[in-house]
Amino acid sequence: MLGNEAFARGAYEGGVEVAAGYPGTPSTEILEFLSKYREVHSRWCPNEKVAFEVAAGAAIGGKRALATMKHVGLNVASDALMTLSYTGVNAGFVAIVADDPGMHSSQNEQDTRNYAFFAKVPCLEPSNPKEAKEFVPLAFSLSEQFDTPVLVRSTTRVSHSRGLVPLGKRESVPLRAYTKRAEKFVMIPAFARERRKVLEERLKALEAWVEETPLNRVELRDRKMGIITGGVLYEYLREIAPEVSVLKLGVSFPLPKRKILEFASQVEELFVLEELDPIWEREIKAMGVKVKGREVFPGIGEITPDVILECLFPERKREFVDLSHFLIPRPPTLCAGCPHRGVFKVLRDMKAVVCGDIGCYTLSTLPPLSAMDTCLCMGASISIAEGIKLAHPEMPVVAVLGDSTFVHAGIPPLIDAVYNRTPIVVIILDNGTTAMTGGQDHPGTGRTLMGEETVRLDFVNLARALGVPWVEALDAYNPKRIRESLQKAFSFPGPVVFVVQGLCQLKRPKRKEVFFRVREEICRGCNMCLSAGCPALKKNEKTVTIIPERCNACGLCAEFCPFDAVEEIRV
Amino acid sequence: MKGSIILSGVGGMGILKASEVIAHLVVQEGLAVRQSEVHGMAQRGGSVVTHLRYGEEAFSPLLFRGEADFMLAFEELEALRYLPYLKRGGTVILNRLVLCPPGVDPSRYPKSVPEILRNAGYNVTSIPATDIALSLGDIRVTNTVLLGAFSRVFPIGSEKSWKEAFQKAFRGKNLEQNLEAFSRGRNFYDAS
Repeated sequence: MLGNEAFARGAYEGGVEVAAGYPGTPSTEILEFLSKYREVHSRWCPNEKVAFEVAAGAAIGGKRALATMKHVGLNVASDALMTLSYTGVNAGFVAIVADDPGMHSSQNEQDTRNYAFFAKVPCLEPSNPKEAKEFVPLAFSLSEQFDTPVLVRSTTRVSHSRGLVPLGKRESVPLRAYTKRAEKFVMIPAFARERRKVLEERLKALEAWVEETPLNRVELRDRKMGIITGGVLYEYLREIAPEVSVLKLGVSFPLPKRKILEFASQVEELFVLEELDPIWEREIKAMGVKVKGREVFPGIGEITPDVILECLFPERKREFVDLSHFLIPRPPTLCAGCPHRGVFKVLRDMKAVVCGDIGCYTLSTLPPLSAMDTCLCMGASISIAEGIKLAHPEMPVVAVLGDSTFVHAGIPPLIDAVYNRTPIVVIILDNGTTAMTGGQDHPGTGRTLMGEETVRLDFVNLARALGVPWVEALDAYNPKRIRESLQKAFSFPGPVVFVVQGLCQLKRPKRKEVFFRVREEICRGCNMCLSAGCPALKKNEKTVTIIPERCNACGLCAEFCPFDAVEEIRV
Repeated sequence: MKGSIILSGVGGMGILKASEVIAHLVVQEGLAVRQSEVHGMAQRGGSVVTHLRYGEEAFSPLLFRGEADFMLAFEELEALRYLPYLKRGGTVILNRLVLCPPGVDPSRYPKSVPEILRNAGYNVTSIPATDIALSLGDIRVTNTVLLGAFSRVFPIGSEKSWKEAFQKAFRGKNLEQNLEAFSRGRNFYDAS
């Protein structure tokens, strides 16, 4: 079972009734798997803050509730977290947050454990899919026992690894009574001051609990070396050095200080092995315990079994063959037929300043498209573009973001552009799905996570309602029209919104009624088509050809060819 | 019985499905399995790798360099890229397929990868799995053809057990076609 499927199974067995999230690698599949259990209400929300709050509300109302997100999603939801820790919950509330050490598919590698320390809420950390399933029901019980939100931290290698998971039965959890308790749930200053004290008392109680819980486990073997670790690193260590003594922390926060002191006294040399920030190391060193961490292990990137071998057991490294001098890189690219390609080629050719956003379209950053100037975080394209426009009114500045990203965090900055009359162009790439994470529904698709038809958000009407003076829908496969519209928009006095429509090619059936071919006698080898970076085009000595099995028949290369050398053939 | 396998290729070639079949197989034989895979950004035509470990006990879902007993390479360049994970003298089942990365001058693509691998001391079986899959009418069964060849060198699982693993992994979808592709892979290995 995949780790993320195990999280979903754990939530199901733990009696979850409401689950909400926003897609983000490596967390996405948790909700997708959970949505298959029809007795649980699962939903995608516009963003993580909304998801977190819907789940928090369900818990306050008396049903066990789950929120799922990736690490940077918790930044968006953190406003809610920081005060939900004051109010506490009613029925169990758990947020599963997946970190991405090494940034396989993320813009940073922040460590979610910081939020546990920051918000003073307990954080559990499973090591494998089996524990992923087991820890979620425990997290619900813990949440109810201490009346607190609980974080469960995953990482890419827990979420996206498979292992054997024994299944259990779904716990039957009765609805908890909801009673109005303003002093607990209305955080006006007078009440919040009282809850602040409750938070500290709860933390003391948790510190006592954490010494006793079997989730933190001492495994005494050879006493020469003792290692405090947790998460997937525990698994690596068992594989590489099964003989060393380990204190496995299943709870990242709070730390079991007595247990740590006892373990430290039982081993000759103590290490702390943790991925991303030296959070435990700081705490343990502050306790006056002699422990090695960062002086041995790197502080940047993913800690793989190879890194542990290199740092702790260099004599155990195996011989291997490295033929990397033969290698050429193979970075991910926009798919053949991708509706984003034409837009970025036009923007690059027009030398616009392109403020990008989070999604597949960041793949337009690398050559040959080299189209993007900035990409910071969800929704930032529009506001960053506004700022650049303020610094350089003479430059054509364009914000480009996907449909799902626009819904997530693009609406307030668009209101700002209207309100403050910033003359930027905003391009919403509407491909009808959340593509980067594998194609999830969102408010613009008209379908819910549970597969029900619903109201479909209309981007054109929304932008008009916000007061955008010029809003227009454009065809993603008509670059000439996009170019003309942009040309006019660059001299328009207010903000402009273009909704560029074209379905994600992973979501549309392959076109069989038409194909494209380069007429070699006409092709002059100018390579104009190649500058859009389509993986279905191949350069020969003097001409370009289309690789039929890669081509998705979007016809953009025919649009770009200045000599009409690409012909469309109807079958 | 314990060991490990590295599966490498390009996004969209059915690498995850192939490792799922192997995982079902070793579990049927009473072994534990741990496997690690790539999602998200890495799937957009980029390089993809899956690590798989099996044994009475299995902990780490990632392999370390010089460890893997077997490599299933779905594309030639991607065999070279993940070669450091393979132990010296390990076994490679290599799909004879060259996919030059888009935008790269094809003359930079390494010539005769099977030779390079053999010269480096590996036990190489190269098989035109994609061509065989195309001859069966569906490029998507490339992975199953490769598994057919792999089943002749992998010490675990009878033909019956492999078929059971396919049933679990494909849940009835295109099962006939996949079983046909599997036999073609097996036969190719036996004839070579």
